[in-house]
Amino acid sequence: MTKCEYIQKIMQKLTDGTIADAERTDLEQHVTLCRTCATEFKFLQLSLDLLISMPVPEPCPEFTSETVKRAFVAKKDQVRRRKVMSLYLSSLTAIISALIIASWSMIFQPVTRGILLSILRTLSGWTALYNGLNKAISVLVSALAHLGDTAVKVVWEVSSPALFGYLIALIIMAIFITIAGVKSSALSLKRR
Amino acid sequence: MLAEEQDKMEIQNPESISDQSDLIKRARDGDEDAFGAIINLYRHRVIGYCYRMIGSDAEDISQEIFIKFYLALYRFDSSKPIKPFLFRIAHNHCVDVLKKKTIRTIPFLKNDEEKQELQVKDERPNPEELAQKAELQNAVNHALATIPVLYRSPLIMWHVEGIPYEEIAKILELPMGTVKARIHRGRKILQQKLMSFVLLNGE
Repeated sequence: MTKCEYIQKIMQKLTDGTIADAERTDLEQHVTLCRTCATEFKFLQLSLDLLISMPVPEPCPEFTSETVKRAFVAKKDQVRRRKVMSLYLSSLTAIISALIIASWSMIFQPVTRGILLSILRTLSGWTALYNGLNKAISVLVSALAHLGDTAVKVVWEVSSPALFGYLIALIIMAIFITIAGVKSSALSLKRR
Repeated sequence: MLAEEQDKMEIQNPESISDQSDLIKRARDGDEDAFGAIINLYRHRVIGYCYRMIGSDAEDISQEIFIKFYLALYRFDSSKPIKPFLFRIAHNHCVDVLKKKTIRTIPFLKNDEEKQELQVKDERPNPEELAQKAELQNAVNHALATIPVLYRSPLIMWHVEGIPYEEIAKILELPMGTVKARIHRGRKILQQKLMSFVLLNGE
């Protein structure tokens, strides 16, 4: 390493604030002798001085009040969007859950199937839908029965705990969503 | 000066983490005054950072940064200092703004009025020296705008904001060695650009 290369490193150390006293002396002595390093040093200091002293625009007098106002409006908006999103997700989960539970009980419980399909027919007043669903389920059940008792038993044994687990997960999720919703509502309403 | 005096009145010790933590908690609970006090504490720094990073619209961009900061307050640990968290948001926002900008704005002193302002701020009375300083300042502003963002941001954080290397590393999510190397590189570019400007224009 030449002396100038060493001095270059020392210059960086100086700007880093990690220069040792002995190194500072080396630098001071060298820049009095070497014109290239003296110029480099001068411009290094000058550029940093100018960077620090750069005139920055002053904020307008309303900057703070306007920013606070805009931030609180944005927060309200964020809370509202979260509420809408959580409502949308909860509804979607409820619909999917209802569909899963209804399909499951329609396949395995003939009594439930009869009741659910009757409710559907009464509510929609659409006999074609009732007939179509009834037929589709009958085909599915007979296909299952065709596979033999063991197959039905296996499907039942697998699906029952899976459905039970799903319901438990759903309840836990609902509790979490409710807690989060209550917390965020409290946050948005708690104003001085 | 009046605004600064008001700031000082609002909180006893602005740099104290416990005071800041109290402000954060109050702001999070919807206290407008507390959030206003946080803005007053950091607005000059944030505007200065944005101005050096982007050059124009520093005030609008700073406002957006403070709004983002407020929206992100719920995930901020109030026992920690505000500055690194705020500067992380500021850095990310400035990078986003620069990505969207097709033409990079150079923070030149645009008119005589601003040059005049610079002269008023300078304590030296010699007009020739002042004019030369204004020119040099322009050269540095121009040089800064041409430094790649990845060097520019840590350079400003370290030299202007005085943020320690460890914190810059956390803000930029980079190893400390990389941060040091980038600051070094940025400094070198700035120095070289200023040197070539002076040499080209005659000292």
